Order: sequence, then C-alpha cells, then structure tokens
Amino acid sequence: MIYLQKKNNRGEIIFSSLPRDFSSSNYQPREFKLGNGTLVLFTDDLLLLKRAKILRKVEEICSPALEFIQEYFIQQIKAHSHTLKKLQGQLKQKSEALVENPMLAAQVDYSHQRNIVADKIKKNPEAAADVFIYLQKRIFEVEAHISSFEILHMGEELQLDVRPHNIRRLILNILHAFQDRFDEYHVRRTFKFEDDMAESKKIRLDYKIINTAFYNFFDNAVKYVKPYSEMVFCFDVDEGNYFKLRVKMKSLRIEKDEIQRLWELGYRGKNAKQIDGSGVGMYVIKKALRMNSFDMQIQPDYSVMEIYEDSQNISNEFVISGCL
Amino acid sequence: MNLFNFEFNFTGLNIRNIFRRKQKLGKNNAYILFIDDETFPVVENLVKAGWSARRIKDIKNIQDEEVSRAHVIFVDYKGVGRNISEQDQGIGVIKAIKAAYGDSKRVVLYSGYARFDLSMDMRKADNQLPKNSDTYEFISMIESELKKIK
Repeated sequence: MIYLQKKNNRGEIIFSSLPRDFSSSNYQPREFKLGNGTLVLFTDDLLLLKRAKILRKVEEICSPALEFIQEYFIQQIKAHSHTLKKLQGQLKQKSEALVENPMLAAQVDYSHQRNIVADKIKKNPEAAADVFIYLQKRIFEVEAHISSFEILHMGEELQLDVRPHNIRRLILNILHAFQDRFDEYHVRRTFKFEDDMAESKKIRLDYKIINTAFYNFFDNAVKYVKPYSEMVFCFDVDEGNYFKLRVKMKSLRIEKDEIQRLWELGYRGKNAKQIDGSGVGMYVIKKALRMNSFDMQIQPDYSVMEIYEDSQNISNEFVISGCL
Repeated sequence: MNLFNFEFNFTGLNIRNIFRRKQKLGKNNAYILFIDDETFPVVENLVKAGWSARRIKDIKNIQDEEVSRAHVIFVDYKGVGRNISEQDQGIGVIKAIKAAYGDSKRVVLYSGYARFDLSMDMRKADNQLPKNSDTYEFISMIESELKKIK
C-alpha cells in the first residue's frame, strides 16, 4: 500500500491520503522534494523500498505531475476568488448607500439602525429601489458563478433536473442581470420570436445549468459586443423537433483558426487579450450545454466589419442547437 | 567666474506665490479618478459623501484632461491601458502616469488580484487596495494619499 503526504516549506501538512487509523509501525516514510515543500511517501512494500531505482522513478513521475496539479488548482482558486471578490465588493459597496458606516451602526441598537435605514428609503425611494435592483442582479451573478464552479470541477457528477422550459423567459431572466451593462454600451436586445412560440415549443433542460451557460455567454457578450449595436435572438424548430437558437451580434473579431480553441479551458481569443477575463467562460458554456445534450457553433461573418475604438468588430452568430 | 554675478529673470514672478502656503487637499478640492472597465458602486458612494470622483473606462494617453486634473488615481489591473501598453495593461498605465507626473499625483492599484500577485511590477503603484474594500477604506486611502502629494 502507498500513501502520500504533502508538506510545505515549514513542515506543515497541506494534504494527506493517510487513513484516520493509520499505524506507522509497518510503514516507512520516504521524502522527496516537491516545489517549495516535500512529498512524503509511506509504503509497507519492503521490496519497493529496497529498490532505489524504482523509488527514484516514482519521484521523477510524481514530482512534476503533482506540481502541475498544484499550480492548476492555484490558478483556479485565483480566477474564482477574483470573480467572487469583485461581486462581493459590488454588493457591499452598493449596500453602503443604504446602510453606511457600519462602525457607527455598531454603536446604536438594531431598531435605531433600522429606523435610520427606513428613513433613508422614505426620503429617497428611487435611490433605494436602485440599490435593491442592483443587489438582486449581483446576487443572481453570485449564484451563477457558484454554479459555474460546480460545473467546471464536478461536471458530469452533478445530478440533472430536466424539465420543459420556455427559452424566451429563461433568456429574459438572465438578461435582466446584464441590463445595466448592455444599456451602458447602448446595445439593444431584440427577440425575433414571440412568447407563444417559445411556450408551445418548450425545451427539456436543467434550468440551473442552462442558466449558468447563458450567464457565461452574456458575461462574455457584454465584454466583447460592439457598443451602439443590436443583439438579435431567433428561435426555430424543425419537424423533427430539432431546435436552433441563434444569437447574432456585432462583436470582437474571432479568427477562423481559433474557433475550436475558444472552447479550451484557459484559452483567450487573439483579439481579446486587452479585456479582463480568465478563459473559463466558453469552456463552462460548452460543458453545461453538453450536459444537456446541446451544442453551440460559432459562425463569424467577415463581410461585415466595423472598427470601434481601434478594435475590429464583425458579425458573429452563436447557434445553440439540440432536441426539444 | 564671479559667483556674485548671476542673471535672474523676474518676468512673471508673482510675489504672492512665493509666500502662499501649499493648499491642503481634501474633500472640497481634490479630484479622484478611477480607471476601470467595470463599474464599482464605490465611485457613486464617494460622490454622495461629497467627493469629486469619476470613473472612466480607459484613457487615450496620460495627457488626458481627466488624468491631468486628478490628484489620486485608482487603476484597475486588467482590461485598461489598451492605448498605453498592450502588454502591461493597468501596470503600464501606472508606470506612464508616475513617469510623467511623479509625486504630484498618487496612483493606487486596485484589483481583485491585489492580495496574491504582488509582483515587483505591481509595486510601481504608490499603494494598493483590493476591489472589494469598504467605501471607508477607500476614503482612508484617499486621505492618506492626498497628504503625500508633493
């Protein structure tokens, strides 16, 4: 039997596969250098311990693999922590508009603090409404981000809850979280299909997981869409109940040779390097869609080319397809 | 060389400027600029608290009017500086502002990355603040940075 233990440079155990009832009497530890710390291998296989060559081979294989895994997870933690901190910062700062100065609030009793907030709402109901709508949008984003994290790291292990849903309402529900940002860039959202059609042609899907796919899609769209343009949604269903949802927009140029690479984890578009992002969104979209047996294709149209603030924008169509 | 024979140009010299004390910068006369591609409510909170503050998505160059009138500038780490440095982004903006204006402007790097990517380049800024800080922390930072303006 082999067990592993990773220690940092202070000798503290970072992770360990040793069982709770581990008894070291039959086991001999052997330490390897790993990154800034050490990897301790415990084995009761005396034959293995006697063969120095095999142990060196184990060290050669384990060390780079474990260092790579460690680095991968550090990068993942950084990316998620960054997004959560951003959302948490926005929530906190916005709520301060109503409940400012927590230090002062701590010096009065709760009912007094509540009266101060109630008074603020009464004096300026529009500003209070603005705070509540903002908080609702960002809370929705937090939920989508947590769900992205689960899809990314647990994926197929997640249990699906598949039910028929109206795709128009589902999209509108997500779009509301991005309303302020699309409005800031003057991007109109136009539906070319009615609610009746979406209601009669419901799609069987896991609501939370598809929500997450669309959340990541719009989170990308709002960063790459050309300001002062239009985003158009079309929905068609053929006789075989095969649907196509097309989202057409003028957005940052995607090169033909990178379309497939956009779905890779960590890949960032050649023309998107200047825009904040971690290259996770498109991967989550593809994975979330695949979990629902749907697919997404990108169809760029280079005949339409517009420059906005030195960036080349083309007409990009994103086609989501699958069976109802 | 005669050390006592030097030329002195009195043209344009205003005697009042020599003796005038350096104006103390604060809420009433300081201008705070945020360079960030995303909106953060702290800017509107500062305005409500009586500060002159504004967010711009990016700058064209460091002579931009918004930059030249600002006293304290908060610069995001990523997504800005397209016209200054494609490679360095926010750090490029900070380096350029510090090179052009020195300590007449204080530049704060504010980022969600601030706590775990403290590379040498990030220390080009006068100070750093995580993006998820309280408005109180922003005000404290602004007040202490204003005192350091030379």
